[in-house]
Amino acid sequence: MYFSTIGELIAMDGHGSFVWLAYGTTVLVLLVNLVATRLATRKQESALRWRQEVAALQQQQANNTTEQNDS
Amino acid sequence: MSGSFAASLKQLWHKLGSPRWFYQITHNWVRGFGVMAAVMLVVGCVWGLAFAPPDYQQGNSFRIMYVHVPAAMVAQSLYLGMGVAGFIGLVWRMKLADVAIAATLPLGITLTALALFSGSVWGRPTWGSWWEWDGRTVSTLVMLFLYLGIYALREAIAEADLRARAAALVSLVGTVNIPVIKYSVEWWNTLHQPASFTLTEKPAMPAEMWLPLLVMVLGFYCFAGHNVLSRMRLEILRREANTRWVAELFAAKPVSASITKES
Repeated sequence: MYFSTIGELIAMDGHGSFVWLAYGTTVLVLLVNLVATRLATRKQESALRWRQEVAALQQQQANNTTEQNDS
Repeated sequence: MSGSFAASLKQLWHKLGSPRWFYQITHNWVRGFGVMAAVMLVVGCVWGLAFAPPDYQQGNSFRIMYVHVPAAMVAQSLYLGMGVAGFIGLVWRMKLADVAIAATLPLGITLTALALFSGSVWGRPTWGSWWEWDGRTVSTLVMLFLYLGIYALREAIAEADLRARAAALVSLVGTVNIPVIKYSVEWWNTLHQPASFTLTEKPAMPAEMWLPLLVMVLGFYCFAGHNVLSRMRLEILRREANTRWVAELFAAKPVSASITKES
């Protein structure tokens, strides 16, 4: 490591606040993009799954009614 | 022979236009880009922050370069990608082109903003000012407005075909700004330092300074690959929600089917 102590790494000879602000913002921007995409994908996937579940139930019900009518 | 080659090339082109095929093949790419991005960004950040030597003139503030340069490079590449997608969308009416533009916008906007912000934070200790009306800064600001303009345009137009064409056209026309950003440091007398790093030439910096930058640039590109492909796949699931292949992909599990049968 270039710095001899953690304190020096944080201070960066007085430039610490600028450097850490830039890196912190970068991490934030990347994380927001990652999380927003993941949450929206989960939401869409569960909506699609729910839709198929409902369709399957309706199909089942329709089958039951025709069976009852037949007997 | 050449006829069959042309035919297979044409077939590939048609496949590329198929959202279903795209959704299937990109499944593993997303994962691969994600893993590579995570590794390279962590290694690059630690290397750039703690192990690279400080600049002899700028001291430790130069470490901002390791996030500023990749953010700016990837933001420009993404814009160029939207321009290419816009061209393909206008000429061949490929559905995926508009999906690509829609999926690129959020990351493009945020990375351009990040490039401007990190540049400002770097400018304060280096140039003695948060903001300079310098050629490269202003042309990057223009790129941010182009990104935001296309985003607003897509939000404002309800008719899908018109929305796709409008966004494609502005994306394509806006690419003239990319060479302006690139050559701004040569055309105008500026505070901005000339490119410290390109993918084609040997850098002027010592290796212990540019190697972490290379890792960060590649990490940012992998992150962009991961994020844009993920958003494209999401957009495909939204647009193709009523198709048979999406229905089959999310069909109810046999377990729940057997439960309904028993009742």
